Amino acid sequence: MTMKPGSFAIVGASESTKIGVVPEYSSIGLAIDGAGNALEDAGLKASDIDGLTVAYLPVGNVAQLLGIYPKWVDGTGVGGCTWMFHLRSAMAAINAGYCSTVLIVYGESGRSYHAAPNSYDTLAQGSIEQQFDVPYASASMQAVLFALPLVRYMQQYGLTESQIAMVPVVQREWAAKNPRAKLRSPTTVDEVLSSPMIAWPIRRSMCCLVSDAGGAMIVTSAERARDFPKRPVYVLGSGAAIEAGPCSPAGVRNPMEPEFIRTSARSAFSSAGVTHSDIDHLMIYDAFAHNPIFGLDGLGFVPVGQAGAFIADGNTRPGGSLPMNTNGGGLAYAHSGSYGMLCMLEAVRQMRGEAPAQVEGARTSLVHGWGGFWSACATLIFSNERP
Amino acid sequence: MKLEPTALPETQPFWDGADAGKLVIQQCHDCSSHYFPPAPICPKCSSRDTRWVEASGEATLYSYVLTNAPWPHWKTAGPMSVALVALKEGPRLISTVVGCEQTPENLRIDMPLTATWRAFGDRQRVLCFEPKHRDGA
Repeated sequence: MTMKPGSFAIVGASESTKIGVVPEYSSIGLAIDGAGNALEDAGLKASDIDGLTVAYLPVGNVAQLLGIYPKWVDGTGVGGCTWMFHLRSAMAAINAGYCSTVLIVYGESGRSYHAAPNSYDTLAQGSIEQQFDVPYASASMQAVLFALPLVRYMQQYGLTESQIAMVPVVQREWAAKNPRAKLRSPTTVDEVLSSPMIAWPIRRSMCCLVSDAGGAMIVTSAERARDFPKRPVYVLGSGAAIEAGPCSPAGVRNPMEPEFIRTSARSAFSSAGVTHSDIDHLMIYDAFAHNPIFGLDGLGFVPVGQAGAFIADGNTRPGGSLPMNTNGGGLAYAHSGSYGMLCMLEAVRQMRGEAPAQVEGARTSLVHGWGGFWSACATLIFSNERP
Repeated sequence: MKLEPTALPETQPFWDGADAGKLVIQQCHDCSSHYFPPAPICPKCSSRDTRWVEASGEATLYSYVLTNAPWPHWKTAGPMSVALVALKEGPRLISTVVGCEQTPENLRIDMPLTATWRAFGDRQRVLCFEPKHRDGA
């Protein structure tokens, strides 16, 4: 029953028409707008869709508004990497024969904040987080909880503030090539380390943007993908893992070498039948500057503790050996809250050869996203060639 | 959202302990492991034979950040430590280190801590930690 690499392909993909500051749409409006663009991109109508995934918005409402009558749905919400989890379950559902063409939908009014629910409005009275995490986490909850392991990691591996600051510096270089990115001017380590302190050691320039955005993609079998207008993006493999609740990072068993990243990476590489050296392009969800550092370590692209130096040495910048976060990332492009869909969409653009900052000749892309304030993740490996 | 922790039946014994100034957590009677947060079955071995025990209160500082925006319920201007604390019994949890200057010089990774209690808004006692003082020091 194992799905062979490249059995499924993304045949439609688009962001919402506008990203950044979009007060004219609520979260559901951004989702519908993104979905409409993806349908158009695939040359499909709503009636062609028989499977639907949505999170943080009621799936039935989104179906009804789009004119879709799905026979399979998934409403799982695990934070920013939710849309990667959805792609995995969509492939499994198609493989099982539950449906044939799945639309994965995302919309979040993360900045203009019209009509929640927003991703992390789930902190109900009496939840584990509300009792044991939120009282301490402060008004900068995301920055604080995401950064909790960082000081120990810095001490254990010698990671410096300057190395962390290089992450936004490099990502501005990518954003400079992207007309849709928010922060396109260059920055420096000194400038990053002079920005206001949010929660030591996290400074404002190490934090992601706050944006409105939506996006959607359509997945179907590789056999059918040939009939679509755009170049198919095949899913070679994937992985995922969870260790704790969204705001309960204390549940991560080994924050210095987190198992959930390693499990997800192992699953992705083995199911795809590729190794690290086969990866031409990389997206690692950057809600905060240290996220790509932990990602490179955990995914095994570098020995543990070496990721800060790897980035600071320029390996992920334009012209580097491992182009990463080529849209500018959550730090410089946009970040709408549960940003994972935007990571996936940049990877699709790169595989189609359509990205503003196109990596010449890229044939594979690995997309890795986080869920919660660091307790879940998923890893996808795409290719524009069918194995 | 009311920020003062709201107890549920499964966590009530923890909060009853807090009100009495005692750190109580669960220990599995089958595999002997302690666990947190509270749950009706043991997360390590799934046994239902779990008991509430008083923890030693001893812990170490696994990692932390210093927030500049503590909730007003703490009645402090900040910076305030948000700490990942490792209990001697094994579980890790999130808390804050009180009773010392909130600076990297005073908050050292792996420093010994002991459990203590502070008010948070309307709740008289929530779990905090303070630097462990050696007897006679």
